Amino acid sequence: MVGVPSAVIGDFPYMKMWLKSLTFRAGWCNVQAYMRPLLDLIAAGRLSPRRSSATGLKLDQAEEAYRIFDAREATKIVLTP
Amino acid sequence: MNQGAVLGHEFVGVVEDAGSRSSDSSRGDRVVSSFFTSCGVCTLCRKGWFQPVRGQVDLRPRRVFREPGWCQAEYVVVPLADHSMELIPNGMSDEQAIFVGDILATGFLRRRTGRDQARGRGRVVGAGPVGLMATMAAQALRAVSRVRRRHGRLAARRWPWTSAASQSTPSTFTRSRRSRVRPAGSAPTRASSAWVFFRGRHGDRERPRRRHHLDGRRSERGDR
Repeated sequence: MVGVPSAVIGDFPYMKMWLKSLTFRAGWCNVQAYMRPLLDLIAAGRLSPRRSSATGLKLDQAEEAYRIFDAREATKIVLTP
Repeated sequence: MNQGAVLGHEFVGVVEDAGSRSSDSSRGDRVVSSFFTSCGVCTLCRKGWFQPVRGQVDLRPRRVFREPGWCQAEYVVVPLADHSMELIPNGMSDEQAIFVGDILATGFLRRRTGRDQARGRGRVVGAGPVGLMATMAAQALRAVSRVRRRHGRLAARRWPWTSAASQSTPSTFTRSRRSRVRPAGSAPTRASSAWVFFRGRHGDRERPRRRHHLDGRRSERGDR
């Protein structure tokens, strides 16, 4: 599992996993190792993460941005100074 | 969380000043930073598996993002900057680069770890920011052959993360006869729950080459 779940994982089905011999793994992302290759992919045009974010809000509109984000009206919001 | 706390841990910026022990960055550099700092000298870091420095592993936000977090501000101090930041290539916008420091890398991680890679398949549950990034990363690596929304109607839509260039070429979506999603329609503005299946040879092809070839690059740099 990657990323921090936004919902609390309650009642983790350990017994079910045990019965099915499932493996569960989780961990920090190795960001430092991936930044350069990902920047290369973006520069090559194979990734365009910008498209999943809204922009145009200023830093002092952060409160409004958090409201929008909390209401799931935007996936990501980029704040500019 | 305390009142008045500064939030945020994903940022890009221009270097205003560099510490004496920072050799990789200098004033005026446009950089993107990882959301955590790592020492670059411990055993794990030397292996290319960068981990937060001790004291950051506590999962309370206050501790996790203590450095270099609190970034929704005019200025941020990035400790251990040589191992935490990357230069943004000329011509790349801030908005393109910013997610490299956390959620895009996290989505990319799915491609690099886990047993699912042995079979070249995986599953993204939930189309939140990280889920979208994971799908985008898999698509960029040509690993997605089937995308299906399990709940609600199937949506034929233009995937918002693909560039114009990749949409003009036949994608894995359109090549797959079983694909039920076509790149058409408008970009979603609302994250919806989705199950995304990955299947394909890509993961199988990729694995034998060198398991941590991406990690190695950074490691070499760290050892320099």
